[in-house]
Amino acid sequence: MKHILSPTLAIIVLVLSQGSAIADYPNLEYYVTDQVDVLTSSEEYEIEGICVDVYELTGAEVAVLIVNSTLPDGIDLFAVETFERNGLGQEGKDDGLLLLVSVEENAWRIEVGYGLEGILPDAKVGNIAATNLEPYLAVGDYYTGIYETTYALGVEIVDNYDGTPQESESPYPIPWIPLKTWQLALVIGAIFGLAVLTKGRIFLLWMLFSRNWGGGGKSWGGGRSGGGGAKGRW
Amino acid sequence: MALSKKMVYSIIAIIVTVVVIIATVAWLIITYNGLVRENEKVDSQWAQVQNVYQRKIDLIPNLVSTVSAYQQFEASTLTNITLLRTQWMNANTTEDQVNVTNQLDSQLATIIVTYENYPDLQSITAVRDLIIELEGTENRITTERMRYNEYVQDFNAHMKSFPASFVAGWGDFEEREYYESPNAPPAP
Repeated sequence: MKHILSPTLAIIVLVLSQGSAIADYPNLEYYVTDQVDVLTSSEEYEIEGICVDVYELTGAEVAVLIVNSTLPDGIDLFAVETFERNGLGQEGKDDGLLLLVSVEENAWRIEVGYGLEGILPDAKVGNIAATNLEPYLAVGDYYTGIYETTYALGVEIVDNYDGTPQESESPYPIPWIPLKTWQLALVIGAIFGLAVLTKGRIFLLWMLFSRNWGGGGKSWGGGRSGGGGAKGRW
Repeated sequence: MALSKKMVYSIIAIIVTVVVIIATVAWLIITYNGLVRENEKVDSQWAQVQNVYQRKIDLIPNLVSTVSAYQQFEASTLTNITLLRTQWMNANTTEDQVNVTNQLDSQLATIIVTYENYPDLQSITAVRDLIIELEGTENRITTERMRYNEYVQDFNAHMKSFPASFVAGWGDFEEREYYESPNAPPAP
């Protein structure tokens, strides 16, 4: 029995990981995704604080993504596709927002979900970015620019958007694993126990799950955007 | 009463036939409904494309009246745009609308190019806001058109694939047309 189990397991791992490997666009694991490392983790944390507040007050999902380049798609298509693949905003309400900064292209785009287009018309978004984003990006101060812009957009959403307040996922010790401390301890204990019992084979299974959980830092609502928002260069 | 071997075989045969018939009918219904749903999606997405076009058309009077105050924008371009807007509103068929739209797009593109070439225009808030709105509208059209084409692709692929193609034939489904943009790069 044992000698059949291992190959079967390996095949299952292979098949499942194939299915989830369609990832041309970035997976947004949490509110701020910095692929270029222009932000320190404490800076990311500060910006995420704004996003968490907006989410808790209105249910709107604001995400920040910093990439090296959006080519060959170009920033417009890249933003729409990333928005839709990740599903920012609640499904049906489409109250998501993506602030995308492309470092090599010196370009930014703010993609507004269908549900927020009413309170954030393109011109308003453009002006917010012209005041809060471009001047700072022009001197390489990514943190201040992104923080101020996220804050200004967040204030607009909180003041004007009539959403449904949501409970944030962050009360858990590890934000992307919805378990309280004692549950987490139990799971870790169980994994450790299984690892000893199976002489490490359990980690094959672990690979399988980490594949699927890899992108699941924050479970976005499944919203869409229709190309609304603004873009610019610095 | 013991059943004869022959009877047992015929009962099994009947059961198998009935199951096959039920499965076939179920498959037909599911496929047909799937095609109907995909066809509807194409239609509703086309309405969405129309919707964002309407948005652009609605933007034009405001755009023309604002930018005509600045001599950098050519008067002839603005006249053309106003004219094309009227044509669009009077167009009866989808084909006419698409034709007018394509001309309109190229005229509007020159407005954006002019704006980008004159930095002093970019400091005028009213003009900048309008250009942002215009770019946003263009981008919405691109997005909705892309989704429209994706839905058309889904439907056409399903319709032509074997064995769903039989259902499509009986159900009088017709292949849907892609919406090609005149500015799109040639296919590789």
